[in-house]
Amino acid sequence: MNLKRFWLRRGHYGSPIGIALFLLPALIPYTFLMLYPTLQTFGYSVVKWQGIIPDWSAFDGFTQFGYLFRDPIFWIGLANCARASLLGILFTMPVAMALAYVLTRHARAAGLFRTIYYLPSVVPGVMLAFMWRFIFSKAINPILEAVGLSAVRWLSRDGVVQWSTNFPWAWRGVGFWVVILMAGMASVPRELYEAAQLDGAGELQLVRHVTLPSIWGLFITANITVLSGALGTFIFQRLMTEGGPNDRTHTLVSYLVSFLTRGSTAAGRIDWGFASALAAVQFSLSATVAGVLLWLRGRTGED
Amino acid sequence: MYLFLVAWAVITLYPFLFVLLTSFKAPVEFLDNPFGLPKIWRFKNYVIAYVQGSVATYTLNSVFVVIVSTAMAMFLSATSAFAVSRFRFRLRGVIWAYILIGFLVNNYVLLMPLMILIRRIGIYDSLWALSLVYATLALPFNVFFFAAYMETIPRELEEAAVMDGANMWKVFWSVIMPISKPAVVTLTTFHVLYAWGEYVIALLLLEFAHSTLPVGVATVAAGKMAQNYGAYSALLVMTSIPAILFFVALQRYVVKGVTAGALKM
Repeated sequence: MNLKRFWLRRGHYGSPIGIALFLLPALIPYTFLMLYPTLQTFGYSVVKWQGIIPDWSAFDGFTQFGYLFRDPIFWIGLANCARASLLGILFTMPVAMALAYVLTRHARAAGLFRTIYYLPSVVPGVMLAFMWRFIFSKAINPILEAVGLSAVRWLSRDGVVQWSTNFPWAWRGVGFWVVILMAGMASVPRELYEAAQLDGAGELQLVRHVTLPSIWGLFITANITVLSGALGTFIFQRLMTEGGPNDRTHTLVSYLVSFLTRGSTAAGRIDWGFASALAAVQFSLSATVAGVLLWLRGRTGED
Repeated sequence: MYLFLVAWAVITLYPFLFVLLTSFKAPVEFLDNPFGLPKIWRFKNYVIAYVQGSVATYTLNSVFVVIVSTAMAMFLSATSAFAVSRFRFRLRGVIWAYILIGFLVNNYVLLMPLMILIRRIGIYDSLWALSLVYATLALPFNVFFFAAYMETIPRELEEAAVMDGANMWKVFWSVIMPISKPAVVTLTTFHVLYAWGEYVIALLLLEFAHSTLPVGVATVAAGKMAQNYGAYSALLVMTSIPAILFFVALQRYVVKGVTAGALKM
């Protein structure tokens, strides 16, 4: 009884043991399957490896990080993630903003359009990747040739393939952000638009001076989330080009996954330490982006 | 204005339509006529894709993972959300923070140690283990969502049940859960779509032969079906349709969940 009074507000029906029994089924797998492996990645990246067994007593310092930063494919991966961020911020977000604005303000069949736009978000990424692989290899060139242009090797030409493997990701994201931005725009009071219209504002000015300022916090959050998504993009690269040709289309994660699958199939030596360093860097970059987001929110007093 | 809306609808839908039409064409016909309607509707492509792609096996595995991991995800997150949202105890703040840390963790940072761990404790190539991993990785968001919902339930309801002699489990199961049904439905739709489409973890935790549909499709489509455009497309259509139908039927809940995510932002 004392124990109970110590743990709980008086008169409540819960018991400490009862509460523990409700929490533990979730906290145990959460600790061992999610948090513990996350921490292990950092440990694995700084110890020596004996084949597939980490030697926890032998600290290897930042050797693996040294290899990583001298590896050209790491920098290619980072560049492709940067291309994804560019597409996300300069293509996905503006298109989603415009669609969400028109749907919120003017469209009758808003629900129908929203459903259509969201569709790519629910279809498994694997199917989308093979769909786009097929389209880039078989569908676009016949159209180009029909209108008198020359064919492009979309999935092998350097300088092109980096964009064609990133485009499906940007395309897929539009519908998701339309739904999110519509939710934000729904709370913008109609009177604000009406007042601005009385002052003679056109649609573009309405977006700039009414919509954007009203959802500014959400808009910034969305852009930063797109950035962190770009750091994790990989499925199109992995399944459309396998990171090729000549590793030109790897992203940080597709490069990481290529290490891990080599390990599960063939006898070839895997650089576990190297893969861990890569995972640790990818995580740190995403965490930094998330940190910037939290910092910005704290500063603007959002949330 | 409508032109713009329709234009993006076409850009969204046309790739799907193209694959759908191709799925009814013979490979030879596709080369002559990539864009038009099929002259001869070749349903045989679906039979070829189904049989040669081992679609039945992969689908069964996926259905198993979807059902088991959704049940696990709902149970684990609802019980812990109940504990943190309905009780005021000493470690509550600590446990809440501990669960929210999970929002920072992305799936990629833990892939390799998770794969090693699963192999070492001998549950590699197990659909149960994969299901538990999915349920666990979805935990932070699910707990957050459930807890936010459960916070809004008035205290009087559970007090009345306690007066009648209900214990914690009874309050959870017969008072809180029935009221939380909308949250359960929303989170279930998300988890079903996630478990149906997840690729990289299934790739690492299961043998190819016993894998789920996305991994199976990736193997078959890049391998023996790569040149048979009709069967390749049929395979993609077959595996996308369940997700699309599921979404169209339950889109109200999906939109509600995404919207709740937006408000969280």
